[in-house]
Amino acid sequence: MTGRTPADWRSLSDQDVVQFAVLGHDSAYRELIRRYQRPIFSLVYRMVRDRELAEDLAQETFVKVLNAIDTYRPEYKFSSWIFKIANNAAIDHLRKRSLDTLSLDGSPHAETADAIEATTLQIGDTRETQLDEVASRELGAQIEAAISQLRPEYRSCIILRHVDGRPYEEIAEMLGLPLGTVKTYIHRARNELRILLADTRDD
Amino acid sequence: MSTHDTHHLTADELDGLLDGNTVDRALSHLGTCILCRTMVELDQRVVVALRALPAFDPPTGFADRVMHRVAIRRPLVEAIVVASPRERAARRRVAIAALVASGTVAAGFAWAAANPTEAFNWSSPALQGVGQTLWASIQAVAANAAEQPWFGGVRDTLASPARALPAVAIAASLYAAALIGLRRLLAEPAADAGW
Repeated sequence: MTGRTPADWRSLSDQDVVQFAVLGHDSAYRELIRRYQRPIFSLVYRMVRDRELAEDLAQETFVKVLNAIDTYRPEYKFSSWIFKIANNAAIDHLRKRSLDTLSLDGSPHAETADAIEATTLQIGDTRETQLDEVASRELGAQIEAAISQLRPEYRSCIILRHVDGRPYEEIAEMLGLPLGTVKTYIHRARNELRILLADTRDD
Repeated sequence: MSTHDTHHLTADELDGLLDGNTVDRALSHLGTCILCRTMVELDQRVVVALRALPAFDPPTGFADRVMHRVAIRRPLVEAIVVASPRERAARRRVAIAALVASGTVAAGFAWAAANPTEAFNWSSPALQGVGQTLWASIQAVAANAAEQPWFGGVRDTLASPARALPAVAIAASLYAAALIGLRRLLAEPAADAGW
């Protein structure tokens, strides 16, 4: 099994890859990181707005999950488990630091020019024409700014629902919240985004 | 305007419309209520903008840094599988020897259970011989001690409790002192002993 190619891993479900990880296969651990590093980093980054900090929290998430891989219960989705831990890490951090406002010009902790550049949001889609790209960048920047002004609980719900496209039930499981609460949070978050975007447009 | 038109869209109906699920009541209401229609259009814009947001890549080397901090557990099964051929042969020999020994003992017990009279006749002389030898040894040790020159003094001392008590106390003190001394000799040196 150690001779598995990346293509072999891609054909396996998360549960199967976890089974190989439990048996001690390094490449199964790497496959789980490969599958989830982007969505987990994106979620945490959108929550904390600081690349360096987001990397630390994302690393903590993976280390916590992979070191406890033998306690994973296959009746639950692996994605729910890892997103739950990532979200808790981000929310805990925000509660401790009250770091829930965004500067699109970079992290409030960035002190040098390099640090500011490294923490500045990068938004864009290379497939579009230049004009569309500018409009998309503007709208993307506006929506990112609007997300950052939401309460952390609303923020994670709206990202999981409309950026990651996860169903309500899975979000409720991930966040340990009742389904009705998740729906309410998302509804309120959309209302606030609508108002924030309308205000931005008026300006 | 009909009665149901006065009820604005519920959150669930709004979700349904955003997910592309059309509900008759919601659609008919949208035809008459400009407020709800505006809200749906704005929500749709918000949702489209959210879906278009890009994912962010973690910094280069992220996976390596995670792997560096993960303790990969090697299961016991794998440890057994990687045993060398020599180790496996040695384990096999020990297992066979244990099997033969336990089989022989079990067969002996089974035979004894099936033939109790013969088993008793065979074992009785042997047990008698062992008992006699043990008793003779004890007698020899006792006779040897009684012939020693110090035996009379010890016997006289222990015969009276008033004399025996100090003797026992002295002996116990010597024993305790010897134990403490031995323990100190065997103790590891302290870290700051300067050795």
